[in-house]
Amino acid sequence: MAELTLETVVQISDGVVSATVADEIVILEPDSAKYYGVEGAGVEIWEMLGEPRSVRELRDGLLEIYDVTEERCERDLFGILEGMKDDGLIEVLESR
Amino acid sequence: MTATPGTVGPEARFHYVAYGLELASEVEIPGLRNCDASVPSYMIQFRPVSRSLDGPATPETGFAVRHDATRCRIRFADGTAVDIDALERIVSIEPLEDATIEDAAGYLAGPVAAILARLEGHACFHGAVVVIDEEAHVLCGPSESGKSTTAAAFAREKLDVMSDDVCAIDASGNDLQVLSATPRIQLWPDGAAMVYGRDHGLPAISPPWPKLYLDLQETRRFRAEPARLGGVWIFAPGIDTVQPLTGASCLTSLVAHAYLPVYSTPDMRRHTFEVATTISRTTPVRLLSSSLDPGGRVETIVREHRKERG
Repeated sequence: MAELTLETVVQISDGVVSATVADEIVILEPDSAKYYGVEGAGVEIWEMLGEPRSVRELRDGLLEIYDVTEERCERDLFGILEGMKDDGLIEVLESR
Repeated sequence: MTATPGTVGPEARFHYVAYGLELASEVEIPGLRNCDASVPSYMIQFRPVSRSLDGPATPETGFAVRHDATRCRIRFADGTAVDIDALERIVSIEPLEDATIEDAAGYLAGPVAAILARLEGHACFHGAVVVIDEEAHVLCGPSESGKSTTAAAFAREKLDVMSDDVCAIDASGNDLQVLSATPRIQLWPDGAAMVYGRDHGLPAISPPWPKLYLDLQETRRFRAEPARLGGVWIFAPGIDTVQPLTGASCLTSLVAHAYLPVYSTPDMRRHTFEVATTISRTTPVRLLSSSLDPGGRVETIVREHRKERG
C-alpha cells in the first residue's frame, strides 16, 4: 500500500459516520462494527476532512491552530492518518 | 426499509402486535398481544427451515444469525430454526420435533420480534422499558444485571412496563418514540422471589425451561401504545447511586448496548449510531448503581425522573 506523502489526498471512507459530542468525536466504521474516539488534534483533522484534503492542507490547517514546528506537526499528522487509514476510517483519493 | 405487507391467507387465524408490527399466525402463540384482524406486517408459518448456518451459536446469545437487509436466518441453541423473509413478509419457524408451541413462542415473542423491529428500520437496544409519567425509561445493563427483575418491580409498584428485554425506538418523527414489545416479563426463579417473595406463584414459560413469566396484561401493567423516550439508565457496579453520563462516554455506552450489533448490517449499525447520538444529545442518560435492590432501583429512578422534570 502506498505511503502517505504531503501530496496525498485523503477523504473519510464511504459509509463511515461520526458524531461530535462535547469536545470529542466518536466514529463508527460500520463494516467492522468498531467505534473510535478522537480527541485533541484528531478532532481538527476529522473536521477538516469534511471534504477531501491533501495531507499538506491538513498540516497547514493544524499549524494555524497549534504552536508546534512543521516537522513535529507532520510527524504527528502522518501517525494519526496512518492509524485512521489502517482502521478503514479514511481512504486515499489521490496519491501523487 | 419499506415493503408491501404480505397477503392474508385463510390460515391467518390469530393476530398479534409487537413493536408496532402486526403478526398473523395459523396457530395461537402465547406471550404475544392480540389485536384485531387486519393486513399483517408478517405471516408466521410453522414449516421446515434449513438449520445449516455458518458459524456456531455465540455463547452470549445462545444463537447464530445470518443477516442481510431483507433476510435473516436464526438457529437457536436447541436447534429451533427461523427464517425471516422481509420481502415476502414471512417468518418461518421450525421447532424441534418434541417441542411445544410455548417453546417456539418464547423465541417469537423475544429475539425474533426484535429482529423484525430492526428490519423495519427501528434502532434496537438491549434493555427493558418502563413508563414513568407517560415517558419511557430504558433499563440497560449486562446479562443478568437485573433488567427484567427491575421491570417486574416497576409493575409491582403499579407502573407500566413496555418491554422486558429489547427497546425498539422509532426515530422517524420529531422525537424518539419507544415501541412496546410483548406483555410478558421473563424471570428467573430467584428474580421472581426477590420481587414477589418465595410464594410468587408465577407460571413457567414452558416446563423444560427454568424461567417463569409475569403476565402484564393480567396485572394491567402493560403499556401497548408508544411512549416518548424520557431517560436511559445503565446498571453499573462501583458507582454511588446515580451518575450522569455525558459526551463521548455517553454515546459509547449507548452503542455498547445496541441489540445484537455483530448480527447487524452496516446500514443498521449506522442508524443505531445516529439514534444513539440523538439520545446522547437530547435525553438524560445515567449510570445507576447495580448494588441497589430492585425496589431501590425503582425508587431512585422515579425520584430522579421527577426531580429532572421539576
